[in-house]
Amino acid sequence: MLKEQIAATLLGLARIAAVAAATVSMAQAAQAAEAPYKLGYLVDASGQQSTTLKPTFDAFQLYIAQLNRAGGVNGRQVQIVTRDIQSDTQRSLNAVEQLRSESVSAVLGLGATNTHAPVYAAAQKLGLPVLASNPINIPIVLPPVKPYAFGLGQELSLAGIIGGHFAHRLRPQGKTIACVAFEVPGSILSCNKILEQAKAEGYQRGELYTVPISQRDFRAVVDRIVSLNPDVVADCIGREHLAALLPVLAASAYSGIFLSMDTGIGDKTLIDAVPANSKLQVYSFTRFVTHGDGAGSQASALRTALAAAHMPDDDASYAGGWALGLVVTDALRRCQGACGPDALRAALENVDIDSGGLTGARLTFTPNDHYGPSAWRLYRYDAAGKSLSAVGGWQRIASDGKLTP
Amino acid sequence: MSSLQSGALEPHTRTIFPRGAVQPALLAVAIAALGAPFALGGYGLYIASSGGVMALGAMALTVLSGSAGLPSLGTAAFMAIGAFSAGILATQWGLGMLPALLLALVLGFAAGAGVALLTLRVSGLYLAVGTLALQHVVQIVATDLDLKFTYASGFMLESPHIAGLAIDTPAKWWGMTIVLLLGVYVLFRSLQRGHVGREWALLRMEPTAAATLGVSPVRARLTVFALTSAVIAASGAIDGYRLGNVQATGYSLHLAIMYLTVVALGGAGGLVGAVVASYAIVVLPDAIAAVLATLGIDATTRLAGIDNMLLGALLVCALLDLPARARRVILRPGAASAARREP
Amino acid sequence: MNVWSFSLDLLSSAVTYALLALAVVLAWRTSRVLMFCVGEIGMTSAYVMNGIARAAGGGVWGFALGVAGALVVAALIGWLLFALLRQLSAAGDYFVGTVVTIAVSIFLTGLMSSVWSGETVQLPLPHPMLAWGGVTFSAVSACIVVIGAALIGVLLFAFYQSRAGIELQAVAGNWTLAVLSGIPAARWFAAVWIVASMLSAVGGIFSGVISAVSISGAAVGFSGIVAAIMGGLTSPAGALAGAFALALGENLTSLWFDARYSVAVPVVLLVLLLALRPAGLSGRVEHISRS
Repeated sequence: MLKEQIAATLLGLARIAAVAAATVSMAQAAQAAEAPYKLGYLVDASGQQSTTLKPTFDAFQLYIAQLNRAGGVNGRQVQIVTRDIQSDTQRSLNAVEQLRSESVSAVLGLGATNTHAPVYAAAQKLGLPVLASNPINIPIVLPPVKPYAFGLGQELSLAGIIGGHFAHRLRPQGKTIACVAFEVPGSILSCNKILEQAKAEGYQRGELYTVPISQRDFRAVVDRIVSLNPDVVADCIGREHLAALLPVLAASAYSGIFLSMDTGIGDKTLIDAVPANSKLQVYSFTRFVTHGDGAGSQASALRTALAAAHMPDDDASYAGGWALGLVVTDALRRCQGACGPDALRAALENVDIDSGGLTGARLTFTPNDHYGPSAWRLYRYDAAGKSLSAVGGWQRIASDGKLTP
Repeated sequence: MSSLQSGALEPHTRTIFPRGAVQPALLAVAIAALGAPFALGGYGLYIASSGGVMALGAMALTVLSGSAGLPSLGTAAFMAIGAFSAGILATQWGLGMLPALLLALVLGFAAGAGVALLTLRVSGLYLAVGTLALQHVVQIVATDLDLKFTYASGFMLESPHIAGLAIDTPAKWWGMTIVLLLGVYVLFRSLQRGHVGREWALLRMEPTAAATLGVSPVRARLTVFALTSAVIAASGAIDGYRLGNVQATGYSLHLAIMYLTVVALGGAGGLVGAVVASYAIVVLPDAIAAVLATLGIDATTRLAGIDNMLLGALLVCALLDLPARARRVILRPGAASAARREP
Repeated sequence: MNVWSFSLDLLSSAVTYALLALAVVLAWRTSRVLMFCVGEIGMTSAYVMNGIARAAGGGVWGFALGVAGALVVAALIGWLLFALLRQLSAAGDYFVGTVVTIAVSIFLTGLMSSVWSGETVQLPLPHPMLAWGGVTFSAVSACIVVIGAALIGVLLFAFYQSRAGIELQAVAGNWTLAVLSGIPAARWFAAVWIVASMLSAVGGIFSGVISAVSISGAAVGFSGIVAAIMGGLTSPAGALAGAFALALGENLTSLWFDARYSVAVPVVLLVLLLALRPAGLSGRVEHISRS
């Protein structure tokens, strides 16, 4: 009797142990399966550049929140580890080291030109892929391919070529073009490209006006523009510079075309800077849609999300951030195993998705091209109606700089 | 002349390393400090090297502003000279870090001597103007070089090699940094305690007496400025290799101001203080961000600017030694208000 | 481009720099501290002015209220600087004082980010172009020149002619002697910092009117510091001279060469001038020890 009792107890205990073990291993497996994908994001949440760089991040956050609510990717949530770097190189590099120790699979963000290159150099040594997002990318992301550098924003030299082309489109008979840059290699490079392309398409004279980074008083530059009287004035400057330049230009005697490169400018900056009765014709060009433009599933989803978050649809960077979310989702979906940095890098090299109306081309990376072909759009600013409307179709450009119809 | 007997000249009568029972304790602390980063992993080693490389330039600047009393806004310009030398030598001629250091020392010395020659005959204040002019000129030249040679991406530098040994891991970087820190420390310490340093101190405190003793103010100041500029340029070359990337936008006036902050924090003239303050500045922003993160404030919230406010407040407290003053006010209110009435 | 319009724009730049340079010189003369935070105080005040003016519904009253609010905030910051810097003894470390102003500028940058998100703001002012005698010029530039010149005039008069100014010079020259003479030195010390901050506020508002208000607009403070140093940091008149020289140099360089060099040329020219004329711009050798 005692032996049977002991046997029954032992059997019962064994059953309990088995069930417990099974439960524990299931929980562990579930935990491993539920362990979120971890990605780092470096952004200027405060400081001088925050108004330029944060909108992309805000829209990206909206996308990730929506994605996680719908169950995440491959059943796992996506966790974004954010660091405020304030365009400071030391903080950015500290952040990259921290992110590596927190086992992120990639570093996203970095819209400012001065942080991208050092972060890329550091991430490369750590084996972390860097996906630079909107609004500005430097030529590092273009072919010949650097293994860990990807770009999904507006690369400066390509933006310059597009700008020169649009200038010709707006004034086919134009003879003179001016470009305003500020004292940063990327900005000067972009303006040089604008002038080069315009001259290649028929313009005869190009003038570059470079201002020191801290310059806020543009009256002397505007005086020179007025005396030069070019057909088109283009630019590659930041939000604060444009906010200082445009009112002065609009109030001056110049009555030609101002072509703004949307380096994270935002529609509101144009609206605030150009008076209603201005005789200056203001255009803007950008890679991603803004101001209600764009028809497609993702464009609609973006607008719904913006409306739900009480954010106005007035910045092309929002579409840029949403596009980043799409690319990241696609790469994670195809990422093997636990999705470490190398697996994610391999997955990123095969992204090929429809942008859903956010831009006029597919979002594509290949092993030989970590930027892909891009499409750009020209908008006309209507000062009286305070609105932007698209002009003409999308202009596509390959990452080697060739314009494709 | 009573000021001559104040603390500034006393340390010069001791030798480079303090004697007595203090030495083993300091040695133990030093060894612990040197070994600690290894225990902290990649991030710790990275911070250790960052702070150490910054300390190289900070030590030079503190000698300049502390021992010699000269203000300088040129730190970023000299670092740019060194860094761009390294970048150009590496990408155009395939030369490594040692030639870059040599070139940086030479160019830094020349630029420092040039600026000092132009401005020091007037006054130390105009030396600040001269360094500001240098900053603007170097910024423009650096932007052009960046554009011409690197297509706006900056010079990419591979891991440096010293006598065949590649410095390609964080541990090796920390090892090299330690060696450099010790070297620069010994250099400046021996200068400060030698007759050159006594000349500088005398010049700063009692210029009239120095003139009567035949100390040429222009020559002495020129020497210290050129020498410290050379060291700062060399630290710029090393920092370029540490970052792995050299670009024009990295050497702004903001960087020079940051170095001045480090020197003030560490106490002008204090070499060890400069090293400690360098680490404080490197670590502080992240430390504040980490503390704020535990309170739920991070990059995603609207209040992201609070970390700068905290940083500014902490710097003020440290600079003015507010905790000590608060203690004095609390413990002895009568004495404190008497002290305030004094000039 | 006409000479009158150019000159008016030049003068408005000079006036803006002059206000900031005066603030720097005032602070330097009394406490040997180089006031690095003039730009940040200016931009913070401009943000405050913008906020109050818009909340009050714009218009003349809103604008006036905004300016008053901005000046109050600037005075508070000035008082804070006084409270912090009085801790330093007179024979103490001026370098530390200078870096304290750097720390305050970091603090204000964070404040602007937190409270106003660092948004770029156009001040709610019209920018009409006026025509007079066949010449068009900017009404805004004209207003800045008139108001700024009046302010500077009042300040110079107060500094050189009034009892307050003379007492201030005494405090700046020799604190102990001033105290022994019965001059309320600490009160003047506080007044100096408050006035310097309010001058920075006006300079910042003018700069915001000419361009736009943003965190990076604080860089105009550096032009003020350079102008002050160019004038020798010795006197308010020197500050004016330095401001005018800097504005002239910048604008002429932009006009004749390239705006790119507009900041570098005036400073480089000064250095070269000093190399040729080692006695400095003021031309007077005051004492043997140079520092």
